[in-house]
Order: sequence, then C-alpha cells, then structure tokens
Amino acid sequence: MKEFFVLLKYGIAFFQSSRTKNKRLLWSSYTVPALMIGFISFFVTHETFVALSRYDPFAPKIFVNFWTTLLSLFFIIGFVGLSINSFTLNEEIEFLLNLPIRKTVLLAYQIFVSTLTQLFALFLYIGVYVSFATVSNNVFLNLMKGLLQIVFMVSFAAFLTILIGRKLKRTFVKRLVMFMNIVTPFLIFLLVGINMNIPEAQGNEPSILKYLYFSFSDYNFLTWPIKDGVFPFLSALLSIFFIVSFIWLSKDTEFSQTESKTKKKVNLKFSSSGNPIKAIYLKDIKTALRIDQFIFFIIYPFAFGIFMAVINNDIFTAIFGSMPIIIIYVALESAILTAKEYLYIDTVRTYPVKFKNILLPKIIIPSALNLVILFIELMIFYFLKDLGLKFFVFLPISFLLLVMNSLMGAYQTIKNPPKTENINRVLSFGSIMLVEGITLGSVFAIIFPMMKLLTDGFDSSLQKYLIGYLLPFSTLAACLIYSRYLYSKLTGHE
Amino acid sequence: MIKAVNLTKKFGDFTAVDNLNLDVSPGQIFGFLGPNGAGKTTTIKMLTGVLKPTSGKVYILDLDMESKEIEIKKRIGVVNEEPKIYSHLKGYEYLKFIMDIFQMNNSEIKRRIHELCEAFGVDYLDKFISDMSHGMKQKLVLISVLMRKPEVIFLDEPTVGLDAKSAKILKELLKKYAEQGITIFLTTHILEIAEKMCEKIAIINKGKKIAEGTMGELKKMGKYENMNLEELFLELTASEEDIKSIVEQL
Ligand SMILES: Nc1ncnc2c1ncn2[C@@H]1O[C@H](COP(=O)(O)OP(=O)(O)OP(=O)(O)O)[C@@H](O)[C@H]1O
Ligand SMILES: [Mg+2]
Repeated sequence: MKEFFVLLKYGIAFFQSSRTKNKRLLWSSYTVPALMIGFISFFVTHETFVALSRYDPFAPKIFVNFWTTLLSLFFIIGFVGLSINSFTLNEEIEFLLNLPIRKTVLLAYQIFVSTLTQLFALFLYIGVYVSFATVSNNVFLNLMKGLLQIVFMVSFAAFLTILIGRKLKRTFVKRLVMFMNIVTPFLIFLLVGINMNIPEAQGNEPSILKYLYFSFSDYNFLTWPIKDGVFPFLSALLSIFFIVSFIWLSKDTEFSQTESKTKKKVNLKFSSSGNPIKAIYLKDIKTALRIDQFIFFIIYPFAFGIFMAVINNDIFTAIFGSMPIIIIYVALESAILTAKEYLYIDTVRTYPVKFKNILLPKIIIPSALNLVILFIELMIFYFLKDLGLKFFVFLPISFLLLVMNSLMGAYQTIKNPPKTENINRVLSFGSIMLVEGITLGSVFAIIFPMMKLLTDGFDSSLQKYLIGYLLPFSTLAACLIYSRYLYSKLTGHE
Repeated sequence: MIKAVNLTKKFGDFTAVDNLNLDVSPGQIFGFLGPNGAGKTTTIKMLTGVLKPTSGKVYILDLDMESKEIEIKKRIGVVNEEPKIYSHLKGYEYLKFIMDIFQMNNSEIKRRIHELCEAFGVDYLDKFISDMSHGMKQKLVLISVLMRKPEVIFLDEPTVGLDAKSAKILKELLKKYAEQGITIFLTTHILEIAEKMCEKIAIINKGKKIAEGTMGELKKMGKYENMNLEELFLELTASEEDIKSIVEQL
C-alpha cells in the first residue's frame, strides 16, 4: 500500500509533460471538468426522472438501466483500451520497472490512472445515477447500489485488461480507443435528445421507453449491481472474484516491447522537390496523418460541424454551436504539431531555414483544415436551406480567428515545451480555458452583431452603428493586433 | 574557418561559457575536450547558430553569424550530442527532407548516400525513426550530414553509441575529409580519439579554456616529460591525489 502511494505522489506528476509545479492544479485539471459534467448530467436528467416517475414509478428504472448499460460499456471499453497500453513497454513503464516495486502495485497504479482518464464517463454516470436515486423511494439503498456498480465496473475492466492485455494487437487497440473517444461525447446529445422527447409523450406511453427496455433483461450483467433481489449479491461476489484474479494474474505479467511492422521493399528513389518550404509543409502533413490523436482531432470537429449544420435551421446557431469545438481542436492541432517540432529543436535550429518558415505550417495547416469545416457548413446551408451568398463573409473572419487560435496553441506549447515523446496531454486545462475564453469572446463580439447586421435586425441606426459596425470591427482589430503580437513572440522566441 | 571571439553564454547567473576565444584553420581536425558540464555542447550550439551568445562574436567561413546565419547554416554540417530527429518520418524520408531543406538534389549526393549506407551498414532506411535504436539513429544523422559534404563539420561526441566498426569508419572518413580541406570540430570524452586524430586540441573546464595547442605543445605543459593526454587532462582538470583519495573512500 505504501508503495502505491509513493507511486501516486511522484508518478502522476512525473510524467506530465507540462511543468505544472502545483499538484493541486494538476488534480483539479482532471476533476473540475469531470465534476462539471456530473452536475450537468444530474440537472439535465433530474426533471426527466421526476416526469417519468409521475407517469409510472417503474419508468425511471428502465431509464437508469439503459444508461447504466451504455455508460458501463463505454467506461469499460475506454478503460481497457487505455490501460492495455500499460502492458507495452513505454517510457514510463520502463522507468517504473526499474524500481523495486511489485508488479501488482505497478498494475494497480496503472489501473488507477486509467480510471482517472475515464472520469468523464464516470461522472456522467454518477450524475445520472444520483439523480435517479433522489427520486426513488429508498435513496440510501440505491446510492449503495450505485457504489457497488462503480466497484463492479472498475474491477471488471481491470480483470478484462489483464486477461486480454497480452493478446490484443496494439494497433487494433489504438483504433478502438480512438473510435470510443469519438463516439462518447455524442452521448450527451443522445441524453438531451431523449429528455426532450419525453414531455411530448405525456399521457400515452413514452415511446422511447420501448427502445430502452432491452437493457432491462436479467442477462444484462452490467446492471446487476443496481437490480433487485439476488443480483447485487452476485455482482458483489463477482467483483471480489475479479479483484482476486487480477492480483493473481498480475504476478506473472510480462510487459512486451511495442512493435510496428516494416515492409521489406526499400524505396530509394530520392526524388525531391528541392523546395524547403514545400518540404516542411509535406513533413508536417505526414506527421499529422501519422499521429492517431491528430486524426481524432480532425475527425471530431468535422463530424460535429456537419452534425450541427444538419440539425439546425439557423445558420447562426450552427456556426456558433460548432465554434467552441473547432476552437479547442484548432489549438490542440497546432499545439501537437509545434510540440512535435520542439522535441527536435536542437537539430531543427541547424537547418538553413528561417524559424518563421518552420513555424508557419503549424499555424496554416490546422487553420485551413478547420476553415474547411465552416465552409462545408455554409455550403450545406446554401444548398439545402437557402442561405444568402453574403453570409460567406464569415469565412475570412473565421479564418482570422482560427489563425489567432493556432497561434495561441503554438505559443502555449513553446512556453511550456514538451520533454518526452508522450503527447497525451498537449495543452494544460488552463491553457485550453484561456484559448477558449479569448476566442469565444471574440466570436461572440464579431459574429453575433454581424449576423444581426446581415439580417437587418437592428431597431435604430445608432444601435446599428455601435453594435453592428463598431463592436465587430474593433474586436477584429484587437484580434489582429493580438495575433501580430503572438506571432512576433513566437518567431522571436529562443 | 571557425572563429570565436570572447564568446560568453550565461544561463541566468550561471556562466556556462566564459570569454572563449578559438581559431580553427581550414582542413584542421580540432578536438574540444573537457569534463562533464564544462560547456562543450553550449559552445558548439553557439558556433552553429543554435544558441545566441550572451556576448561575443562567431565567424564561420569568414562570415559573421549574426548577419549571415542562414548562409552559414547552409554550408556547415552539425551532428548533435543526441540524434533527436523527426520520429514520425522514415529513414529515407528524412534524407529526402534534408535534401530539400538544403536544396541539394543531384546525382552526386545520391551516389554518396549509397556509399555511406554501404559503409555504415545502413539497410533500414524504410523503418520509422521512432523504431530505430540510438546507434541506428546516430548513423542516419551522420549520413544526412556527410552526404552533403559541408565545408565545416561540427560533431558533438559522434562515436557515442556506435559499434566498433562504424566508429572506425567514421574516424577514417573524417581524416580523409580533412585531407580534402574540410574543417572538423569535434568533442569527445575518448582521449585516444583526440590524441590520434586531432591536430589541435583545446581543453575547457567550467566554461574557461585552460589549454590549447598541438599534442606536442600540450605535452610540454605537463609536470614531467612524455605525459600522455589522459595524464595531462587529469592534471589540468583534477589532481591525481584527488582521484586516488576519492577511490579509496568509495
Ligand atoms: N538550457 C540551459 N539552461 C541552464 N543551464 C544550462 C543549459 N544548457 C546547459 N546548461 C549548463 O551549462 C553547463 C555546460 O553544459 P554543456 O552541455 O555545455 O556541457 P558539456 O561540456 O557538453 O558536458 P558533457 O560532457 O556532459 O556533454 C552545465 O553546467 C549545464 O548545466
Ligand atoms: Mg555535451
């Protein structure tokens, strides 16, 4: 046990690439957003449960069963995917293996860290479950069952990890984890969508419940802990079995070297363009496409943007709705590319190229990629929803905002350069909040008034000039100046 | 060819390189020695334009580093202490990248790549750099520099991680290049390399140059006749009694 706490104390802080000295900040960067998600899901579902229990005391149970099934599934898959990486030798494991620490403790530590990475799913679930428990007739018993559910989930996931850890191919696991990561956030839409449907169905049976009923089956062991009768006891026994097996199996676990296959055929045609700038762009695009995380960072805002464009009838809501996501991902994308350059900065600085030329692709590539998303959104509106051409004026304005965003992402990275190849956390939570705050503020000050201007929504001409012209243009000017400042900071950075 | 005038680098209050003066003539192999943390790597970084000096001047190929940085970088080659290169590229992609960056694309460079790969036993250019061992990466970096035949080559402990054969080939190759007029600046902890290869040697300690000269000149500085470089190095950077008493205490 003592070893475990030593690992916790040093281990977690040790391998964060950021030099966050303040441990409390590090912890809060995990827990605060997760807690927020928990609160949101609690309040969002609370009314649903109240409405459902008025309709039929049994209905909340079906609902919570469904969510337990779904979120347990996501938790377990995400958890297994991530902690399976702890069976492959990486920098951290190599270091830990050199320490005189038992493998069981090492694995328990990995399990704990993996749980931390699944905090979102966990707190989403806790929110839903607690809101269910508060409308039930036996609050205490149901809360206890919820606790058991979590123990059951974690122990089952840990057991699965160790059971299949050595069998699965790493690349397959990576794909799986990526897929789960893309899908999980969409659950919140599902959650909201279902909640909206229920009040409409008052009087007759909420049709949605029919579809959720499958999860109520006794064979669905994922929900055993929260069921009635013997099932909670069974799941408690199972949890004990999982934990004991985990300890027993972990004693002779081997950590295997990661490997990637190489084709034997060597391509030695050294056809080069002879153009340094082009070479740097090509290299960065190649790098981007070879980082799984980056691909996720591209796909996610794309899917989200198109989703927003399709479900909304109002261009303003669509653009304004997809902006927060696009903004985070632009900053993350440029942060990754910049981090990847900075790892090799001593070599890079020996190249006969101006630093600005090395830097620019890290700004241009993410900005351009995400501009395409906005372009597609506008096209969807143009072709399907009769949007006027004048609205395309959003594109150049958005581009400026995206560039400002990438500059911030790159700047935050250079201020806090990465030390290892491990890029799990490119930007700290604080940096992301900063980027979000600044850019969302400018988006609001620019796009909202321009929207009104384009739709002739102003009452008086004074309002029109103050809010319609002055506000967006002065914000735009401020953004330009700030971008210029960041750019000179970046290129002048030693 | 390589000239440093009152070169100084401070990290905060700490002076890593202190008023260093160097002058290396064309075709010379110059050995730069010193204990760990003496300031060798910091000096190389300033000489190659990677790090801006706190004060002092650097001239390479008679060009001022301050104003002609890009031109200098185009004509020199640098092998860093650690082979840190883009891990997401494959070996041959990296070489192509270097050819583009230095705008060199002719049949001669391709011929040299093949020769060098043959010489160093590099048959893994299709591998991702992230999958290469330290020595494999080191050889790739060496090829990427030597294929260009730069006019001045800086090497920071180039033999670390190389197998005996590759190290031998590198040493012979550097000697041959020097004969062809290429200037070579190298740091090493292997005193035998310095003794056998370098025409001129400088020793620094705590950022200050404490000795400089040919092997013959250095030997005259010692306490007694016919000291070898190791004895001299230890005499200059630590006293022998020191080492004896340290070992005894262990
Ligand atoms: N970026 C930096 N910030 C602060 N101090 C530094 C930095 N880089 C180097 N130093 C310090 O400067 C001194 C010289 O370091 P340098 O790397 O030049 O030594 P070296 O002679 O190359 O040593 P070695 O033989 O171990 O490679 C050391 O004390 C080191 O701690
Ligand atoms: Mg060094």
